[in-house]
Amino acid sequence: MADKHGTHERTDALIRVEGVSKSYAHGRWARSKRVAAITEISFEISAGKTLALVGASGSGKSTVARCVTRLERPDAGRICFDGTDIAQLSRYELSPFRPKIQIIFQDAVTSINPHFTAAEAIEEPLLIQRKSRRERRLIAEKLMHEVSLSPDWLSRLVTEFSGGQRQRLAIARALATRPQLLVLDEALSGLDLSTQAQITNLLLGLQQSHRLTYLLISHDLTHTIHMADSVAVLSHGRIVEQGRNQQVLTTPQHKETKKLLSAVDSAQSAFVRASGAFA
Amino acid sequence: MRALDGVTLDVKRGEVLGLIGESGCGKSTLANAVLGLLPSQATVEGEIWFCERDLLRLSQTELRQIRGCEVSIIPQEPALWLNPVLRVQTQISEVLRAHLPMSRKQRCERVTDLLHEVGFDQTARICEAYPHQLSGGERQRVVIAQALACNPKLLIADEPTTKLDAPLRLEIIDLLSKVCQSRDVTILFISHDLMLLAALADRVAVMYAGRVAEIGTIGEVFRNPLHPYTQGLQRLARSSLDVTVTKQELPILPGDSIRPVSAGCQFEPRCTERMAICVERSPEEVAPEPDRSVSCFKYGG
Repeated sequence: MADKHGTHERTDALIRVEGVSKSYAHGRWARSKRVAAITEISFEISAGKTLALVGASGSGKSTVARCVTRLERPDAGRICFDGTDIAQLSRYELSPFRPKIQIIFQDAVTSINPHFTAAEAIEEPLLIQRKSRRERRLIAEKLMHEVSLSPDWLSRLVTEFSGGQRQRLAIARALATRPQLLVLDEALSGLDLSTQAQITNLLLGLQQSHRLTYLLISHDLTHTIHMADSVAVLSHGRIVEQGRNQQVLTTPQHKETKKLLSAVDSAQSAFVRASGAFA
Repeated sequence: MRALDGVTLDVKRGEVLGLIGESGCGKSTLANAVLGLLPSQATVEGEIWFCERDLLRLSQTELRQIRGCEVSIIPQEPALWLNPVLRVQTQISEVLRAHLPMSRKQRCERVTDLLHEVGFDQTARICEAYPHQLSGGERQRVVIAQALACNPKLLIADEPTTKLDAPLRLEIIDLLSKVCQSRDVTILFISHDLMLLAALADRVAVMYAGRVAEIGTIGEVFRNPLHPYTQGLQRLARSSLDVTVTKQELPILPGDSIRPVSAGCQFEPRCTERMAICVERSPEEVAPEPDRSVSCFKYGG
């Protein structure tokens, strides 16, 4: 699709972010000071791969997520999705891309309308796509099955589901539009260890079967160990280190990475001391 | 709806007891029961002994003297716990005023000391700040200072690090272990993070669906878990920290999160080693070794 902003490019990256910056006004007035949330962020993710974006709270992770999904318009830079620059597209021009890029938020409890039943939550994106009632129900049943929830539960209210189940529902809802890119904004945080592992396995399986591309955003490197192909470390709105997952985990270069890793290390060593694991 | 079922626990003076379990297993209900903070429709049976007093038999007035003074709590979300329209100074001295006979000046000094103790350098800035002007880590330190204000004997930390990022989490854990050493305070540390517990706790109690599955010292429980649930958790924690294996499925516990079972062992639907007896009745606590107990038919139950 060619348009006034987009240019066709041949590349194997599904999404390529180049020099994206975003600042917010500090205060409500037009002339108030602006705070740079992210500065010249660049990365790319190949189709079917996972990039983990890690950083401490306030480092700008969520702003990156909001820019990539175009919930925010970046101030500068290019976001090439499948060869088209979507960074400055208008609301109307974006509509063909919306279904292809979906986001899952940390708090599935607050990100889904509590008055909805599971069916309504999953079918809402399909409603926007003007699918018939019958078609919607069929897709919803299939999706429930894919995220290992019973299709019999479609008529239950969202509030009747547990935390982990709601995160599954959020995944099903995101998959309804058959996306290519899934942005997981702290989707694993706040869940307990066993639920977290279940969601990790589910996401790994879905990536295989749907050839999904993930942008995994987290403050905790332990979440990314098992999911990511590559890692980018964000500090004060800039990417300070980027590389293959194994490489970053085993030979970190930047002090921010080391700081994030030290949390993993000391947890690990405490655990090793206590349990004698890895020995 | 039974949130807790026959929980028997003792926290020894000066130790850190970790309470671990997945969301919905009753960890927070237990903490709130100790503090007498459960909603009025809740009925609590049994006994809660604290320094030779049964907390369940005390009147509200007597309980109010203990709560915040001898027993205090570090909540999960300091952002919701702190009053948004009061300065930090006011909120901490409020606790002091309620429990200790101190002059205004003494209270002021005590607040500064407390803030120093939890690792603040610029205490003046913190004193004057409103909660929204502080970062998440700073707010958590402020509630710790508040909890320590009256020299509590027992500190209940209800997932104090869940909302913080990984490096900050460690700082808070370091702070708590420092406090524990310097002040001779007993801590009941509630968490679902095995790794954090390993770093802080002396003993650990594993809860599942309102019951205690296993209790023991942290080394014993993590090195040689007895209950199938603890075994699954340990396997999972071990492989989730293994940085040499990436892009591989984790050894999860089968089945969905806690769903109450009408009869038999609550863990039976997810258990890989279930037996015929498991559906008939729930297992009793047995002590295979001294200072260790487990509720599972594998060990006699």
